[in-house]
Amino acid sequence: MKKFQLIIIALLLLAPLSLVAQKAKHKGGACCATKETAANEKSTFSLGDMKDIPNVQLTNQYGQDVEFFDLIEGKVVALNFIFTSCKTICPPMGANFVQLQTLMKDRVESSELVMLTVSIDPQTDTPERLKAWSEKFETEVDWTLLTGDKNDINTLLKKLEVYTALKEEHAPVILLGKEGGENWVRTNGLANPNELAKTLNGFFEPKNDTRTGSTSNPDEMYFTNVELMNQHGENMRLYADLMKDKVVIVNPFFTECTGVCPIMSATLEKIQEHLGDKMGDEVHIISLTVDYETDQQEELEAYSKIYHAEKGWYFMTGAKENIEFALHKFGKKVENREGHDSVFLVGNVKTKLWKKVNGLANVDEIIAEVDSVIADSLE
Amino acid sequence: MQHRQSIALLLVLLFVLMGASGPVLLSQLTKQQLAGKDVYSKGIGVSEVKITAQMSGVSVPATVMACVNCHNADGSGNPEGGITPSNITWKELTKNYGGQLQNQRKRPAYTERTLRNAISTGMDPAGNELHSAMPRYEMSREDMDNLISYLKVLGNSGEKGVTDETLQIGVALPEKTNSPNDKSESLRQLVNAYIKELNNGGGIYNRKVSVQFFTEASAVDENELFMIVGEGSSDMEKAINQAQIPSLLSHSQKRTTQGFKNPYAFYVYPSWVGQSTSLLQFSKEKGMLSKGTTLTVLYEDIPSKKGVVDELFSHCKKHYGIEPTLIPMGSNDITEISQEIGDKDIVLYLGAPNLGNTLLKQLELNDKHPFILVPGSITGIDLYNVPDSFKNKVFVGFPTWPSERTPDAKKKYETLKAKYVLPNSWKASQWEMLSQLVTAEEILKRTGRNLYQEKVKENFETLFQYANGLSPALSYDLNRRVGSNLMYIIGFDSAKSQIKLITTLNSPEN
Repeated sequence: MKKFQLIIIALLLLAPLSLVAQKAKHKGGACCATKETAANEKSTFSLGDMKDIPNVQLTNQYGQDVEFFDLIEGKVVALNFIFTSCKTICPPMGANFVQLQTLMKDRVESSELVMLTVSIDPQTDTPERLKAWSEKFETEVDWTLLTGDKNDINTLLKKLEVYTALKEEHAPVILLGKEGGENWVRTNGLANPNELAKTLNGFFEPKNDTRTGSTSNPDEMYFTNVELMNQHGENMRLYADLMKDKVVIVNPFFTECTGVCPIMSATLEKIQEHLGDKMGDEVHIISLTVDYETDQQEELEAYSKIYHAEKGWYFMTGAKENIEFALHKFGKKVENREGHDSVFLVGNVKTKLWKKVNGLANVDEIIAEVDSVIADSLE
Repeated sequence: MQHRQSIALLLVLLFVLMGASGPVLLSQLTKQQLAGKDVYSKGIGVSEVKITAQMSGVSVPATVMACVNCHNADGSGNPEGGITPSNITWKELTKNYGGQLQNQRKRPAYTERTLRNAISTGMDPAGNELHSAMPRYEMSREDMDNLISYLKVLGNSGEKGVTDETLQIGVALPEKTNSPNDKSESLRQLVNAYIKELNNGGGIYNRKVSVQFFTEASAVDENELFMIVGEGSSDMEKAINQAQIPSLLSHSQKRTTQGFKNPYAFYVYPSWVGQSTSLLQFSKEKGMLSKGTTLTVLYEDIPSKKGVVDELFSHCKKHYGIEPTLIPMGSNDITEISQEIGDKDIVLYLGAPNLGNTLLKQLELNDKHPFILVPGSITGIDLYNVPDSFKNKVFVGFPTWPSERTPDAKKKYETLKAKYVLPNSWKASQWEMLSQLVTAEEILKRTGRNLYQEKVKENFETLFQYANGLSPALSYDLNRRVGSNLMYIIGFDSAKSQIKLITTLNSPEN
């Protein structure tokens, strides 16, 4: 009875802080809080200046003293919150976090991404306890678990707005963002790790970033001049070299694709034939690989020869984040390469007329659509 | 009366003999259900292929997410972080009008087949997906069969040592000796008296308590015990954690391991090592021990004390920068040893209880008067018969002291003693045992009629400053396994010719 009263009092006092848990109760659907509410309630927030957290000195699972700000400075961060005696949601959260680490392994290894787990029960969770807990997940990836003085931890938790008075009331929250950045994401730590990875990837700057020019052209700002590489091994900027003042036909593909890609590429070959001299000057065909790992310059070159690609038909690959960024801008980003669609995007960059065309349709129908986009004018 | 007692003794003996000839199986679980219980509570199966749990594309060993984590030992569900796991007792799952989930969705009653399906594919009988926090488990057919057979009886306890009418408790006693004042026998009589009184009053929630006495650690596994009280040892701690039996023991010999490595063994007092180091700490505070001091540890050459001595050696080296001299001591070595010890030395005495005073006499003969530190739970010294020249040089440490006892508690003991004619010997040990029994009864009552060993363990972990009127207040938590860290340092007041309490301090257990 006493305990019950205590919980009620705590809930009243801390109503806004234990939002997720409460919400679940009020809906009478506590079981489904994660999937139906929390998961979809992905909110963004600004972490503000983490430097102003006074001396948050923490201890990692190896018993070493670390300073929170040192850990996250200049990095993309994934943060979750557990306590080792938590049985219901923390083990799944841990498993999810480990899977996210595996997906983001390269970023962790290159120290661009730091994955942190903070104990919300630092009095119980000694470094040894955290270490033993993390080892249950049998992961190889570098993962820092933190405990410390209760006051310090609470200061941090309050700053991150994940503090709850009762540890049992804590919600399965994960925070994703970049230190110093504005748009931190607060979301459900039990969400699909692939989704979380996608969100995390959005925080990385593309390599060789030439996007931030002094342009005021909205298209250029949208597509940016992210650098890609064509089948000849030449670097090309997405907007300036591939798209500016052109009509473009964009399709996703990969060289090892044996399903729809050969059909679409054959169709594109016929379109190339139809367009003749317009190719290169007025029109670019941009085939973007969805498998940058396999499709390096040589593979693309060999592939382009099969379909007799000539001037103005570019098969593009690039650094992971760059090619993914480009695909993303065309709405063509996929989790696995087989997931790409068979739709041509046909766009007149000058007039901003864009059409989606079924890449498996009759060639003549497609050519008619392409011609209509080329014929579009501003008048 | 005498006659009745001997019959009782015979009965007890018979019980022990039966226990020795083969385990007394009290649990109603079949072999298959027991195997299923391992899947449920540990995520461990009998097949070679390990059981895995999958969630949102993540696959982890099922040991990380065993069923019991969310659904509790009784299947009722353990709400946490906004998730309320379903009640998965068979009765609940198979109600013929089906079930309604908390989100108002309905499902038909489960059958064995649809339950298998739910566990492995995450679909309920209505074809709806289970909550995303419920993993999908991959396991062999055999493990699944075992699990299902256990799920059918889940919620009916089925815990070791528990039936509807009885509850079996193990009591660990020291080895029996031929002495007329045998410690083991004194304690046995006290326990029998206490349990009889308890059962006469209705037992614990209508279950009669039966007691299984034992001395060897191996008995922990061989008997169907729900809980254990008594004297501990490192071997016993291991056996207890293996068998997952919540236990309240007086103290360990080596330092007590923290809760996450030692979930089930709870101790009332600091370990032998902890008690010894408290005395060293005391001697340092009083200026007896400093960096140049020669420290000698005299010990009885038996395995339990040898282990303690080794831990003490590294402790002294680490904390005081001293490498103590370790000398095993039998009755024939006293003359030689007393020559080796210097007048300004400190002796930590862990020898046999009956040799302490002989040693002091021999030292006095040699005109040597080192400080003598005696951990009272490990050995003993008769302070009243200490040579005069040692009166202010002998200090005994005890983890408890009669001043802790309340009048009510004293009355309780005296009533038992009178009614059951308890022996006068080993009174301090009887008090300790009584204290453990009272605490154990309290914990069992807090756990309720629906007894689960896991719940008992968790209830121990919530004890905070629990005082039973017999021992210092006990506190445990998820890490803490020593209930009271107090040490009372006792000396001899030569002016008044009586023993006196010098100070109390906290034993540095970890």
